[in-house]
Amino acid sequence: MSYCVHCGVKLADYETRCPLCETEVIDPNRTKVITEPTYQDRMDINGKKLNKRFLIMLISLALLIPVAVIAVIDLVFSSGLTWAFYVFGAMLIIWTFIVFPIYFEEKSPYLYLAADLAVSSLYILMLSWLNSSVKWLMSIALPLILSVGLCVFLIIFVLQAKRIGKIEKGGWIGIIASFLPWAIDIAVTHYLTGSFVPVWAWYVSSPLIILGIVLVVASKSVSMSEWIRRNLFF
Amino acid sequence: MKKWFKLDNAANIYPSTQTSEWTALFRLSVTLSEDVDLQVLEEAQIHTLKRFPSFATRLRKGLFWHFFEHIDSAPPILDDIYNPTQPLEFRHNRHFMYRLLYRKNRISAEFFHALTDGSGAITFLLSLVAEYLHLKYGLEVVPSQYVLSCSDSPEPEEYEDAFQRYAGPNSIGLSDGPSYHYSGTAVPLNKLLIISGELPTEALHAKAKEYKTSIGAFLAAVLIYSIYKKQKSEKSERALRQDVKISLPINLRRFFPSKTVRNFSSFINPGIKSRLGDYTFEEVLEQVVHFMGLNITEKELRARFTGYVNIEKNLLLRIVPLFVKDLLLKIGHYLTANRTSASTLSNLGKVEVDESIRQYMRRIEFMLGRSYEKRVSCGVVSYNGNTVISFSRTIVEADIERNFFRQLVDMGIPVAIESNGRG
Repeated sequence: MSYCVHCGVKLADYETRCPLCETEVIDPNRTKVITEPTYQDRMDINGKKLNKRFLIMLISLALLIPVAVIAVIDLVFSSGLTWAFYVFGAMLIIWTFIVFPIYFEEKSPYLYLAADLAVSSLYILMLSWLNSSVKWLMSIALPLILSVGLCVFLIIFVLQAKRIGKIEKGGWIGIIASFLPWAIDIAVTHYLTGSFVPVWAWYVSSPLIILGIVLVVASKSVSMSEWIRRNLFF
Repeated sequence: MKKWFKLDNAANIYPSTQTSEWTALFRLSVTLSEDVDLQVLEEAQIHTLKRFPSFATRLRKGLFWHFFEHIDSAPPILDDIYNPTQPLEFRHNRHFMYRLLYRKNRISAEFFHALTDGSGAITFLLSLVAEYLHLKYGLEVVPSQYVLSCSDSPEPEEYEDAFQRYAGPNSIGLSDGPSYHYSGTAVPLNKLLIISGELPTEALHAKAKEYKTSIGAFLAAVLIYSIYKKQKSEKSERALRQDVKISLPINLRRFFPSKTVRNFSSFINPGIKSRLGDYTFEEVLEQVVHFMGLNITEKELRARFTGYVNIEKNLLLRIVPLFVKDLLLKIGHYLTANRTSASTLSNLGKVEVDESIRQYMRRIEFMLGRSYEKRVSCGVVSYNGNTVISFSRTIVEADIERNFFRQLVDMGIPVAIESNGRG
């Protein structure tokens, strides 16, 4: 038990400084802390949490303002809503991409990925409806968005799998990613020539598939996994 | 069993003004002579909630008002933490409006102010402790001022809105001028720094008697004087000219007999007018004593809370939808609340329990949570010959606490300090 030389108060055993004036406790006879601190040495993270509702409200407001301004301009200059739909759609996409992950933070990421995919596809459909002359939207853009979405779905599934090791996960991600060049190639070739036969996808996806298979197989072998870990430092 | 409760008059403000970062909470702790048995404590809590139906409730939103709805379960008992009175997210607490914590031989409870005041809370906690001791050691619970026996049935008067019962025909103005507020280096939102001083009640009582006053008035004067010293170090002319006032909650049960364990307290703001010249401690004390004498009377207090009851009864206000009321109260609270005092000193007074309980109970602490605007708050409770004065603050600098405890030491009162200040 020590006293603060400045404040004259008795200090609890565990105090190394006077809480009132920060003067260090120097007691040659002090051996070790006898009593435990009254308050447990743990800090809640409550205060670090964002005020989600407020943030979402702020984002929504920030996105609504340009929509409203552009709608007014469009109404004034075009005597009706025409190109304002582009802005509205784009803002809706941004809103979905930002707000859903904030709101569903603790829930499955599939939910907001599905929302992102749905809203992106709807935007493409709207653009296609507004510009019936532009063909590539439906032939290239929509299939590509859906393909990328599907790949991301599968990659998240692999990443969340608990029983699969890091090396095997890498392998499966490689295999999943190898399907993307096929989708792009088929969509572009079909748009240009009307054929469904891919042209260049082999060259890009083959190395990915081979690497993926090697990693999956290697992950099953203890010695090979060790060798990869040793050489890649993980 | 009553299925739902109207909020009492004082409680209405809290649900409307709370945010995810701020809940009006205060904390009471009881240190036992032996380590707490969690299983027994859980059982004791279930029994106690049956005895205190107004605590077994959750907050609900109606069309025009908030209300409390009865719930059957009990809140989880948590490990006590380093930074007490964190905002209470009801849904993470099985919707209960108080949080029960324990660590080794200490049981703590943190209460949302809409649920109860200090007096109701100490009755709840001590009854819980008594029931715990009954289950653990077979102790016979003798009902007393702060202990209700769980074997008795709850009485309607125990959960009445005593403000409505005692409101009179006349009210007085509720406005008050602003007070000086000090600032400092703010700590993060999830941190609350605590410094507790324990001192012999007898020494404190003797000193107060020397000044011919009560412990409450004496401590209020010491706190005002501590803040006044801080004010004198300010450079801004405006800050130097402001009044120094603190908020003193008053337990209305002392004047209006009621058994209610819900809110039934008012407050007054004694202080000094710094712009009139230099004050000595004796002059500050004189101001406080006279101010308390003038304002803490049955008539003054009744007229004061009648003003608030009249607001609640106003027909125009009653038909305003809750979301509008919430907004208005939020704005009003933001603009006015806490501006009229620099700090709060809440004194629970001397807590006495039956000898059978006292042998198992070593210490009681009372602490106020993070305030909306006041940087330092102070809770006082006397038990078993000792008075524990707990300061909670949201700034790094401990100037007020230093001034306060140094003055007590200078007056010859021994003070033992402990804190949670670890970085």
